[in-house]
Amino acid sequence: MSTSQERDADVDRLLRAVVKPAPRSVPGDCPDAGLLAAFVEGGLTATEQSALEAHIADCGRCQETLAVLSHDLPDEAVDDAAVETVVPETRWFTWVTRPRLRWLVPISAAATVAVVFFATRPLIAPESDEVVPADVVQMAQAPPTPPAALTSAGVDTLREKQAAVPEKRDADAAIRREDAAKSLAVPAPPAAPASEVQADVAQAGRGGLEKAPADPAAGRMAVRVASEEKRTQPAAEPMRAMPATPQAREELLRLEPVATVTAAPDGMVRWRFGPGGRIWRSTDAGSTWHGQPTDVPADLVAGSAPSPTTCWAVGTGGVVLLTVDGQRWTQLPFPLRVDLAAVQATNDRIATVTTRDGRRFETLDAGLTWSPKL
Amino acid sequence: MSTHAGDPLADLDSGLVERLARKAQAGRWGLDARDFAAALRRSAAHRFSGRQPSAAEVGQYLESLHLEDLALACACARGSEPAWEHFVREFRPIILRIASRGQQAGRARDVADSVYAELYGLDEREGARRSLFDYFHGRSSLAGWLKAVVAQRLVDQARAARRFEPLPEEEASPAGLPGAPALELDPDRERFLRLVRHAMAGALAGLDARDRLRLSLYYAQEMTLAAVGRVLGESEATSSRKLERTRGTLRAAVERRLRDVERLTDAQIHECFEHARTDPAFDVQEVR
Repeated sequence: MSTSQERDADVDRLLRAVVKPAPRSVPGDCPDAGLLAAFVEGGLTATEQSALEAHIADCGRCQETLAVLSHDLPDEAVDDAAVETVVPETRWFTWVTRPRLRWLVPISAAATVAVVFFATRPLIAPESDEVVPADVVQMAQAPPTPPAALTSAGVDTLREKQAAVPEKRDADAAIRREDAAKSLAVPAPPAAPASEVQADVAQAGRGGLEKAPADPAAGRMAVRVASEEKRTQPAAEPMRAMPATPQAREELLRLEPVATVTAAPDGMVRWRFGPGGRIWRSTDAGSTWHGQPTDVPADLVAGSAPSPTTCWAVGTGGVVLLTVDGQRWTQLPFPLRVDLAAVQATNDRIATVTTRDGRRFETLDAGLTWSPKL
Repeated sequence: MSTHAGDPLADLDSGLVERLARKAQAGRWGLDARDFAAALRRSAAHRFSGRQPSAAEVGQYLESLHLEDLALACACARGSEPAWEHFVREFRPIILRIASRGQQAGRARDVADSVYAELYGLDEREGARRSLFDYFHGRSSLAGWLKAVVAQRLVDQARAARRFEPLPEEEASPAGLPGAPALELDPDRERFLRLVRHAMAGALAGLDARDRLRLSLYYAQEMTLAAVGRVLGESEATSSRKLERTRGTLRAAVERRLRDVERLTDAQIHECFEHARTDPAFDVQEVR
């Protein structure tokens, strides 16, 4: 008998099969460019917005137009999820910023700075422009937190903390990873709140896609659980290595790396992939990272490294990249312009890629030819 | 002077027009006040087409416009040289960039040039040049409008081209391909498939337009969650959460119909999902 989660996954697969581009495309029926532009810029009244949504939901032409426009929209949508989940904090902020309580603000700020300073003092690494130390890795070496942190209540607390953090990028990056994971042919992870964090950590332990915790406490816990997983599954221990310098951290967060690959067989060489064709390589198990240039604008979502110098990467728009010297990347031809979700490489010639809708294609000649794989 | 007494669309308050012209910095382009007022009237008439708004509604609407962009577009349409210089410097790169997003990269320049020519106004009617700028009403930014204009052209070109292309091999039903595995013979299979089709079609039709739109953008247009969020003004996390919720709603609706209306058991419902998932020709649009 299938479980509820399996049926959810079935619905996802069914929708991939049944929700097809709408055939309707009568230009006269469609909103003009001004209305469409106002729609994506949020400049319509609620009534107009609803009417337009009803039209576009059934109109292939308008949907395709939005798809073209979506590539050129600024990534600055209102994070209504954060707004929803931060309501208690917002109220607190409103309360504390009342005129007669404003004196609390500098005192609270000073206290926070002091706590952060003393809490992280042993973990601060020397700054360098060239080398990016990983303080999360160092956090894993910090004294373990009490076991209570792993109880159901603790996990709930962690989820609340993650949800309440108004850092949109962390949430977005996590969701993108989740999205990429769901795109694979494997069933979706359990949706139960308490098990989700554990599932994510277990997934990281399998060397799959990582889920970055939103705050240091969460990071410590996730890393600790990951290290426990590592005892039973020694193959990998991907962690989000955050640079210590503010500039480097800012850059890394801005770029939202979405996948980390550990190279076989030594585990010391790793690659990290991100939006805009960004790639970083580490030769010391993720302690330091160095950017590697590519010319592709695609968002890279997954990679596979069969050796320390050979790595394949895939991304949106059918982008497949390969390096055979660990330094220079070459884009390989791929016959379909579809978003790719995963790649599994055997060596520098043989690899299988998986599209977002679950199809698999194999190359035996370093990308010169591809054939569907059943 | 008013010629349509009491018509707020025809009789824009002169004080309001002056204030909006100042706000739009229309003087930068040497734009005549009457031309700017005409652009405002055109915009309001387009917005309130088919009904008679109050003066307050019109005023509120005009205040909400992208006035600087409207003044620039109006000045370009009237052939103002400094306006064109500014437009070419600031907006032409946007046209080229969005044109390059099309599926036919080689035609990007053609599309951009065609739009550019229409903006300049190659089309003459009754002795007057008709510029594409006249269709900009200031409801969005000028950049957003230009992107939408170019995007619609790209999509129309691509759709026209697709009509003449043979169906790609991948669109063909695997069941019909030589060598495809024969489907298992199950006496209930056809019935179960039909039931799921009906149930899923009903469930999809019962969704809100916005939820259906989100599903279409994600599944049919294969947009990423981030892109869906950008288009719908949501964060990526919210798009993901709402998609998840919609999937749950659909599943519940399908199961409810199969259980309560079709009187199927849990095991049969499971079989329904299994058949639908493994059937290569399953397509809910057959019953729409």
